[in-house]
Amino acid sequence: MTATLPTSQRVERVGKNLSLELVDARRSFDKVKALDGLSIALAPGEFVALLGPSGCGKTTALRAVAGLEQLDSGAVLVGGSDITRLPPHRRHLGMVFQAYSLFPNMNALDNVAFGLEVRKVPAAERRTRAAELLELVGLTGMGQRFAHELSGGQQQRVALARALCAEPDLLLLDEPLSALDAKVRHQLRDEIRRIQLELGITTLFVTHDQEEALSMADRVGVMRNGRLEQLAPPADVYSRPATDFVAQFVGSVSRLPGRVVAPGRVDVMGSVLSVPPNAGAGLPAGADVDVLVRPESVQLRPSPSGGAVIARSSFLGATVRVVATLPGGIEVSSTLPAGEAMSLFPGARADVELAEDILFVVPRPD
Amino acid sequence: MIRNRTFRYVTLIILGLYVVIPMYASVQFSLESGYHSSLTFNAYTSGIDQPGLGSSVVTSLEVSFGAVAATLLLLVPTIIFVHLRLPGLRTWLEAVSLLPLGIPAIVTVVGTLGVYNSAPNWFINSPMILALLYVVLALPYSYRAIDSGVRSIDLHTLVEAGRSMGARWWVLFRRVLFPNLRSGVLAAAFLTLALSLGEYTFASLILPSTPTFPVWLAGVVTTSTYYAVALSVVALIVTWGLLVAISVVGSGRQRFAGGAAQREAEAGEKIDLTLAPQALDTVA
Repeated sequence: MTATLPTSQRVERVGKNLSLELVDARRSFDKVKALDGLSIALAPGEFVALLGPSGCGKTTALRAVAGLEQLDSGAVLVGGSDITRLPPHRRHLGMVFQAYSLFPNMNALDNVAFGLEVRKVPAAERRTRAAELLELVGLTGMGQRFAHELSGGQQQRVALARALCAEPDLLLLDEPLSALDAKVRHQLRDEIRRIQLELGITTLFVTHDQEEALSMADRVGVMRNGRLEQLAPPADVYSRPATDFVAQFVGSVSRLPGRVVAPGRVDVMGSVLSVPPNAGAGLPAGADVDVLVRPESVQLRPSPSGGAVIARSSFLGATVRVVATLPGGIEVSSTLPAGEAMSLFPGARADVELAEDILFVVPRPD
Repeated sequence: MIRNRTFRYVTLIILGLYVVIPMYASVQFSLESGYHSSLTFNAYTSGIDQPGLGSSVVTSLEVSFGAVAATLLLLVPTIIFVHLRLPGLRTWLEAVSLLPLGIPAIVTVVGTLGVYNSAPNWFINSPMILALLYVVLALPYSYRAIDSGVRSIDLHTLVEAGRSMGARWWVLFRRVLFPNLRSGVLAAAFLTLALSLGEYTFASLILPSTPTFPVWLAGVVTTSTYYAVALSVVALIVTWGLLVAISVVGSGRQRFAGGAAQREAEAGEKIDLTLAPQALDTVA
């Protein structure tokens, strides 16, 4: 009943290391295009998070991979094999859902072993295997409990063990942490990543939580209107967004008015700064633009003659987010160490300095 | 709080008296059997000896269990399918399921005979036709019982979880859906069985040559009221017995429905109670 295999052997037994490709996937619901030519490729063993606002198509993409949605056109390839037309039960994928999805009539052990049961694996073998997986997710000895006897976090751990038990080719995670409270969510986030690395299983993770996506994934795909705006490592998505949508959706930004003074150079608040390549550098001289900057690129210094007035501040632990109002009512956010922010109380005046790392420049709407 | 409790007890007592007094009167009447001097089981022993009792009981059981089987085979997959694939039709189905309450029995009988006019005689004269009719008659109750069972579980997620783990529809139904819909399915079975065992009008009009127990009993009334009342009491007890038996056989879930609170401390993690009402609904 208890685990007998060391972790290294389990890795060999579970990790299939298969690639996943969605090729020009299209799916419409009535007149709404949920997927509009989405193409994405996951390398074997890679953990990719799809991130985007509600309705961007990320869940549809995941469900199309699982076979729970049929594509209007396009293809799903796993390990190079086309599984587009296979029914869900023949795809051999493991999936964890947003809603608690344990079968209420089965205890945790039987839930985990269900995938093996349908494959007619002998009872003794599947119970041993299920116990191993419960151990892997930190629920040793809880196999006899039913769903209503487990906390939300424990249920999702069981769901993860269940998804992995039948040695799936891929692991699909459909916002599995969104129903959990913050502390459990953080714990489970780390555990999922640990287990994914340990097993080396190719994983597609859907979330609307940027922090989750950026902290867990090898690469993050930001989606909008059924299309992929950018697929890149988390640091690149944050620091070198491919589009202004990505710049504004991931992390927080302030929009400051500026004017292009020369190709690749923009005047913002009296400072002439360089615009990174592919971040709006091609705008013509003289164009009025909005310059997007991260809070950590904005420095606020207390000054009685400063042009900015502190509007409010939020304590974030080691740092403080301070919002200042510029002439014209424009707000700018700055993230500062807690010590530096002490004198920046609401109503105080401050000078604003920008670091030389503009995130993105977009033409100002008329 | 106290007023609420008093109101509950008073309501229960009134309801109890409403049910118990006629039953007590029936038992008393059947035991007196017209002699007024001592209580006797004569009406019961003689009633059981009446010709035709055995065959009418068999017919009633055939019709009733046939109706239960047909109801479950028809409604459970249909309601699951509608919830999964055609949720927009739920309102229509609900409305249609209420129609039997508004259509007079004689209209239903004439309509049924008209529909089956061209059917072979063996079918028209068999209890099967009555069983199919009782499926329709019980629809307002059986539909709601199963539908509420389906609504009490997260059907979509359970189905998708099972399918993604490789379960075919039949396995999914047998291992996941049916066990979690058991309370609704049992309720539908109870209601259909109780209705079918006691129905008289349709049975007397459609199947006069093969009387069901209620039709046969109505004939006995003309011979002896005491026999009829005694047999009614027996029928009531047998029906209750059947319902209790089905309930006991089908209530396996109750053995794992409790204990969450006791184990909360052991879990070492806050118990999320969001599933608890659902579990209780399913058990209730």
